[in-house]
Amino acid sequence: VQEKVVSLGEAVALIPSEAVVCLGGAGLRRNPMAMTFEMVRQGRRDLHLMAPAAALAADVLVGAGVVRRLETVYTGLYEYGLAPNVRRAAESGQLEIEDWTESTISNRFRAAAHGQPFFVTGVFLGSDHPKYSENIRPITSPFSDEPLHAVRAAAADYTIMHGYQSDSYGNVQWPVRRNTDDFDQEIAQAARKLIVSVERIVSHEQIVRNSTLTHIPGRWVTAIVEAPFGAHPGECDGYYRVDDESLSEYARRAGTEGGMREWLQQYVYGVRDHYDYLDLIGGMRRLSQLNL
Amino acid sequence: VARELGNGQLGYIGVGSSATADTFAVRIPIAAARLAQLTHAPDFGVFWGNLLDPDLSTIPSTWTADEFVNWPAAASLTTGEGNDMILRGQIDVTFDSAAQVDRYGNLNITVIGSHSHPRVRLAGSLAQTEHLASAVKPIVVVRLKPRTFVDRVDFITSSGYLSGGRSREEAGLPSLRDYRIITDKAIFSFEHESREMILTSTHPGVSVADVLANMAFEPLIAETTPETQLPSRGDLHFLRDIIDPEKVLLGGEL
Repeated sequence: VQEKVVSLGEAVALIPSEAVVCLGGAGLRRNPMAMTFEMVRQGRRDLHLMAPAAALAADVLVGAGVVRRLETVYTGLYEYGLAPNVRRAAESGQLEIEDWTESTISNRFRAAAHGQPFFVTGVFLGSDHPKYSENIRPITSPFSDEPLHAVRAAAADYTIMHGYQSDSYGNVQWPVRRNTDDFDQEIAQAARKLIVSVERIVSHEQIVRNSTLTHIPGRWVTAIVEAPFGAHPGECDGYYRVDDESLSEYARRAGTEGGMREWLQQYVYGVRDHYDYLDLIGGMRRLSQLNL
Repeated sequence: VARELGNGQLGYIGVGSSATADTFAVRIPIAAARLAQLTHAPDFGVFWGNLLDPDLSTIPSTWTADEFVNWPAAASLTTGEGNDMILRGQIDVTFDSAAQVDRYGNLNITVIGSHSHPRVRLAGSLAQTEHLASAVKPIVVVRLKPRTFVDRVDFITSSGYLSGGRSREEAGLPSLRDYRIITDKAIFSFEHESREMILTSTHPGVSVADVLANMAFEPLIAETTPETQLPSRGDLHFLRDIIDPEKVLLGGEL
């Protein structure tokens, strides 16, 4: 069995510019923020992003100008409003968005996880999504002549997500009680190269004692990174809540192009790594207040 | 909204997004579902976000991810599993809101203007496409405004009655059970044959002219339009004192 632990910098160095990158997490929850910031710091560009619901990470990457195309079901930051950078980039015509829906994005990953080239659905009958996607084609059921759409399976080169805990072999475990409103299981099963950052790396002995909690076995995983508070300023259910102050500041400053540039300069380009970032926002004194 | 919910039915409510949509598509439906449970529909069930049959008798004052983890419920499903239930026909009622609603009840929450170069980029699609692609009773809660009630939506996120008549069925979609649009001034449904939006009732103090002044198209209007029945004294007691004493759900609206 292979050791999978690498540094944040090494993990992100695996991802080239122009890659198709899929992000796990949903809304403000468990977005892989530490890896997102590191991708920006390392100067990735022209990414084709699949962010089914990782609205916060997607907005940062779009705001840093490193995304060419975005596939998503939701471009908002919940109570912090619509995603400001995605909105600005879409309205200026600079960002192509391919709009998906919850079941269809989920089933694109399920199809890939099953090794199938496409799946069929009736969800897009009458809607405008097929007009703007190369990945949706009308077909007729061979069994009943019903009209349907064939939808191409998801195909991300690299998949990054933020988990809870793992051993050094990449066996990622989810807590017994967790917020299940996400696509992470399907996304992980469909991944070609899967990089997971976790709050904590724990012993292999601890993992094997509770094998039913291993939702992402190490054999699916390319690299594991330990990144405590790796979803900040978003939340990691069971570990810490959203950082309201940081998110309010983000929503305010990202409202203009110049404001976003300064925000990136301060929090992403201006720090060496994830630990410097955590120090900058106030270190343990601040972070411990977010703990659940 | 509560009166539209039947005993034994299961309603699907999203987890909520930004402020206004959240009030209309989540908080009002939650309050209505609980009111229905306390009055005529004790067995009305809710699928809320990822929680199947959460206990609505104690609604916490803050809605963090962690509150949802700790909320008593029969089951906690993933987003994909929740959507499976909609598409398999296990959901009776869906609750939605929209930036645009048209004459045939098509909804748009994706873009205003063109898709490739929108004037306004909106939230996306979430599961609102699934909701109306299923054999459900959709309840759309939205403020009555000319920029919301448009002749044709700029992007069909959710298929209503498409271009009217039998066009929905001809496109291969299942028939909707019924369809209600509930606004701050009036309630609408859809005429049986043409599937055009029809004014069902106006709220007390609102004239038909007031309604038309807030729409960019003219809906069907019967010779006489009844007044919307106000919540009873008992309903108000439940809403104000039992369901939402801290005004978490309904804020200052009641």
